[in-house]
Amino acid sequence: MSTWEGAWNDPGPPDHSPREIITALHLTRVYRHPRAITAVNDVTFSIFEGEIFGLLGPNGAGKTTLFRMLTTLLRPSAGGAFIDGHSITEEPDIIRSIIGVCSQNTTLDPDLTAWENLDFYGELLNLDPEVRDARIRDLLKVSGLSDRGGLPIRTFSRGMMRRLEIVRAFIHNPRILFLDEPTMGLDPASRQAIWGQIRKLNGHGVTVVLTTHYMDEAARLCHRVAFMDTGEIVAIGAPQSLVDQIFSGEIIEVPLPPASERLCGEVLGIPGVISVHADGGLLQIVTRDPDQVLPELRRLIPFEGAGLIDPVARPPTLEDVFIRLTGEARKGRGRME
Amino acid sequence: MRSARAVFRRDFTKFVRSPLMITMIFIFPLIIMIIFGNTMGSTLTHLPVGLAQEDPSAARSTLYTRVLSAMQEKNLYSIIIYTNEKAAKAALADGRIYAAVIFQGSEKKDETVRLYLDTSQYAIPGVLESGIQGEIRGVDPQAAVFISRIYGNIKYFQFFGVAVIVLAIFMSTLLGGGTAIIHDRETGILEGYFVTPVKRSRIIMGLIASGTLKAFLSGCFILAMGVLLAGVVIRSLETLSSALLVILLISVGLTSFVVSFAIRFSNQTLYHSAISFFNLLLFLTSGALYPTEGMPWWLVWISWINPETYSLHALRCILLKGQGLGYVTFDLLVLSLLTLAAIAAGILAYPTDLEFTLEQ
Repeated sequence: MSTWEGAWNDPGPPDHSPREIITALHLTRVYRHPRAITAVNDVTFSIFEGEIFGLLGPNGAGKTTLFRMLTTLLRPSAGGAFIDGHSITEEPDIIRSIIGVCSQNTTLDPDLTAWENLDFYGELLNLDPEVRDARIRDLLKVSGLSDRGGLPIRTFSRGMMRRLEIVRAFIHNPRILFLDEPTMGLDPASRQAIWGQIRKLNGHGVTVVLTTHYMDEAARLCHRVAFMDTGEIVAIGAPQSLVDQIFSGEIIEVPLPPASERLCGEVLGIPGVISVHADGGLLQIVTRDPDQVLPELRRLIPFEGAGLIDPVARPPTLEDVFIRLTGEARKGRGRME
Repeated sequence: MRSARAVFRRDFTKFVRSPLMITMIFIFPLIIMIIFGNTMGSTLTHLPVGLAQEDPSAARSTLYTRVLSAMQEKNLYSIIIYTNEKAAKAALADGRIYAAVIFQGSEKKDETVRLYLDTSQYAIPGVLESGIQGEIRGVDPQAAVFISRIYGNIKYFQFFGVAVIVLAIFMSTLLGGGTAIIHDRETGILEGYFVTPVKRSRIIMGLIASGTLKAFLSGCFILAMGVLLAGVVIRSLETLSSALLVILLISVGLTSFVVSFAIRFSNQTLYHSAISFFNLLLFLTSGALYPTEGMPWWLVWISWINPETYSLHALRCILLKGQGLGYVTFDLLVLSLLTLAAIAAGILAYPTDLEFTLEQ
């Protein structure tokens, strides 16, 4: 499987220097138990200093394995990676001192208070007591938990725990922050709060690498994203440029009637239609000229008569890219006219 | 009823899929049965007994010669001849022999024999007292036997009370040190360690320090209870300070042992089953309940590598015999070596990344 064409030429985030801070070279990881699975397969890519970089892909695509290799939690089976020039296999200790990691699962001690948790990590990371106290006060403020510092973590909501976990990863002022699904399972307000926190940190020059299943999150937050599927990076680039590359127009979605092979061909015949894609009972039509296509479509399919909602055109989103890229791979690369 | 069946099936399927759990349920009790049967109430044999004569220059008396040959015929005793009374008593004080039989060494009627017994052991002094008296009376029914119990009458409660100090230390490390490690793993704190550059030796040192303190406090509490309830007597400040030092060393040793052991366990149930088994195994083979002399060779072998054997011996020497640290140097040395080995094993076994979770 090849990387999405042209994606490599992405210039990187416009407002930041293009210095590579993370470089993965042919990074591969094979799990042996219970059966051999190549979770990450020959992945080569770079992340630039100061950008927010998103790793996207379906469950089991290899995001977390790649994330864990980059954060020195797992060792590669082949290939390697460099974080700020340090090898993940040779110098994990140096890397661990310059990165902050927020794992998918909580690593906070539920029996300790928020303050004690931060203090514990601060001391593990060798921060002096005076520095630590000031830092903890700052971090609790950033996470909006100043009034809850003395409460045990077990009394916190998931959103509060997540916010604390992110600032915890940041206690030693790391240059790179790794966040594995930072907003998973959180309500919209908590997600907004975490995005604000990530942007604030990024504003101070911190490179952020995150994985997420929320495409709106990736589109809003990330300077660049990489799509992973079955252990490989299938596309990489700025969210909007990926959308533009894959969908060179607007999308019209039509419920797909049964036995519609003929219909697909007819729709494709409509002038102005760039591509037609049938998936999951839905016909996805890409066009640059919806005003021309829609009347023709209505003529072809009598929507009102069939009790269907009249179709409208909408701009494509990163979610469409996700479905198109990873769905295609799953079906063994399908129809892309 | 179908729902009950569903619950049964779910639980039983999980049991069948866990070979370790099956081992624990079937094999561990079997091993415990064999060990219990072999440690408790087994026939004591080859107990070291020293014989000597008051007057080393005189020829052996008829009584001495005949008692010696009568004792040599039995496998209850393992006889050591001392050239003089002083050497025999020193050996008794050192714990190399459990009884010293001193003959007068002159040919006269109604010879007086003095029997010195090490009463810090359970069962052994009783067996030796009646056994040796029997041998003497068998030769000369008129002979007078003066019995001297060198540590007084030590009750089983005292003997056992000292053992409970070791048990308390083990229990508190089992729950404190070991459980804490698995809790760290279950809650994800272990993963939190891996993303910091902290060295695993530091993590182990921290865990052992905290486990040791908890174990030490627990050991001290049981020592106090031993004094109040079991009649353990603390004769001097030196005895107290020696006892506290030994309790501290035992705490470090057993905590290191348990922490190293706990590192590779992924869940509490399995760990608790395994550690309870080891708790019983180590406790029984340490001579806590019954002397190791009666055990078969393979259990004696376990008692040699068992840190609790040395812990218990040192504590009993100090608390029951009132001996100083000089008498337990060997125990403390072995205990220190086992502790260092356990700490090293713990550091080596402690993971540095998440690879180990994939092996299980």
